[in-house]
Amino acid sequence: MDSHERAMERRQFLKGTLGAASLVALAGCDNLSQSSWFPSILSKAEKLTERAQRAITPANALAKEYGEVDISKVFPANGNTDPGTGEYAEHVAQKFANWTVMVGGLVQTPTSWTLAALKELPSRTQITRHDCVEAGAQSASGPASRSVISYVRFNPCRMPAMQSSIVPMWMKTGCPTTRAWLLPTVSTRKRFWPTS
Amino acid sequence: MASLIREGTGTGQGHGGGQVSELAMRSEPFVLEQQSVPDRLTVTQGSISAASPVSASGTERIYRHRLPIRISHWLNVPFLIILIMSGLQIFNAHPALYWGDRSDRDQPLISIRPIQTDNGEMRGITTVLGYKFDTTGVLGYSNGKRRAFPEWATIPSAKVLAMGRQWHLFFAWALVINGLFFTAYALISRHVTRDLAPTGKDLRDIGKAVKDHIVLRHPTGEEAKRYNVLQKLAYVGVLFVVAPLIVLTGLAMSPTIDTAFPWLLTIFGGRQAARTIHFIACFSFVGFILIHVSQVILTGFFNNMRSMVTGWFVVKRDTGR
Repeated sequence: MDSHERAMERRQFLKGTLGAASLVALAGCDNLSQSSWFPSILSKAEKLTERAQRAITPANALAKEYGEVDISKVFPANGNTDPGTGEYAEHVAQKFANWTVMVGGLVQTPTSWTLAALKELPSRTQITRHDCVEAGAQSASGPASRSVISYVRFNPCRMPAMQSSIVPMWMKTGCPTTRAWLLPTVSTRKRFWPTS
Repeated sequence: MASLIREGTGTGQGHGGGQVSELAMRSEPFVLEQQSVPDRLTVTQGSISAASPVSASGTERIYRHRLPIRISHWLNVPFLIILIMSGLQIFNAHPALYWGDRSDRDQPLISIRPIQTDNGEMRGITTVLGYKFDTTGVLGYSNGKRRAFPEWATIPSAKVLAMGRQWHLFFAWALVINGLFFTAYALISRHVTRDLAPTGKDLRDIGKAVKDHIVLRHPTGEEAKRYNVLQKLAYVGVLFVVAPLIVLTGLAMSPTIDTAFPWLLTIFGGRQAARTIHFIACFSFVGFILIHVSQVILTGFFNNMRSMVTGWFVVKRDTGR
């Protein structure tokens, strides 16, 4: 065997080894993604991200508002516009007359609203960017969330979990005001993003 | 003699002593030449070459990479690979790039799409600034699936945006923490000023360095103990330009960060522009990695690997001197 052949053989071996190693690594990543324990470790970073973002974002920071000219010509729905459930079809048929939304969580007065009741609240129109991997600007009108919030009133320290959490004291001072939740009586989305 | 070596390695690494004698015993050519040791120690103390046992056969061993640099380097290998591959997963969720704040689907800078031809066949079409390329098999359509980047290039291999994001943001933290650790150490240990920052002479001789690289002529002797100017520019560029850029453009894609620091979007020209720059910075990393790895192989794979694993690098002495 001359040196050229040996070099070729070595190259072949290296290629094979590298190929096999990357396949094993890829399969390893997929196995980890499907395991029960690994995604929960990965999602720890989301908590860290949330805390870090809360710590550096001023409490009164708001999304940038755009002008009429910035509105996207095409504004595709993210995911889908019809979850395809019987319940949803029923709401459509009734023109959402029996649809309600419940506001609860860290609030003084958990309250539910019908669509008609929401429409009676002071309304505002805003043009903001809607972000996923895509981004588009769209004008949206409806009850200002501040009128809903001022009715239910935040009570940031209502949850016992807040006192016993391992979060350092300095991070707790401004209790997280976003821990209130909105719960529509029907899920308008089957899932956030199509997965296949 | 042994104490001299220990003194030399001690500047960079706490447990160097035992390692040196082991290496020295293992390989015959490294017979120590006593007279050359003392002056080397004074000249090179604290820089990338910390100790220089010189052999009679014309090779010399130098302590090139200190332990924190080596740890940081090897952590970056899985971190970057995972970030690139999970990033391509996220890209696949909407495989087009735009300039400005919005993604107007009719005017992408780059898009990678599966297209069905008239005879029903699927082709992967990559469009760059209006120019179309058939990239079937790799981009747009591969392995019978409509996807921008192929299964072997993404984490997870199947199309799962949510899981791709989790991988990406976890390892983004890991990369940033490692990067801050590296930067702090490199500044305090003066690795940046001594080894990485190009000198005026380096920059004046850049033409010669380019020529040498084109004909694959690699430095020997004293020249091989330090990074050459193109190497310095590549490292400085990746560490202090591309890496901060990719972190900042990544942050600019977060709606919360945009409300906190609206100027981020202003400097990058909009959120979709930030996504485009993030993508370009990613492929700058890919380009750097390809050139870096090929240079590692071309300039003595075993020697380079040993220097990044153990710290010790062997240099051939110039024959003409």
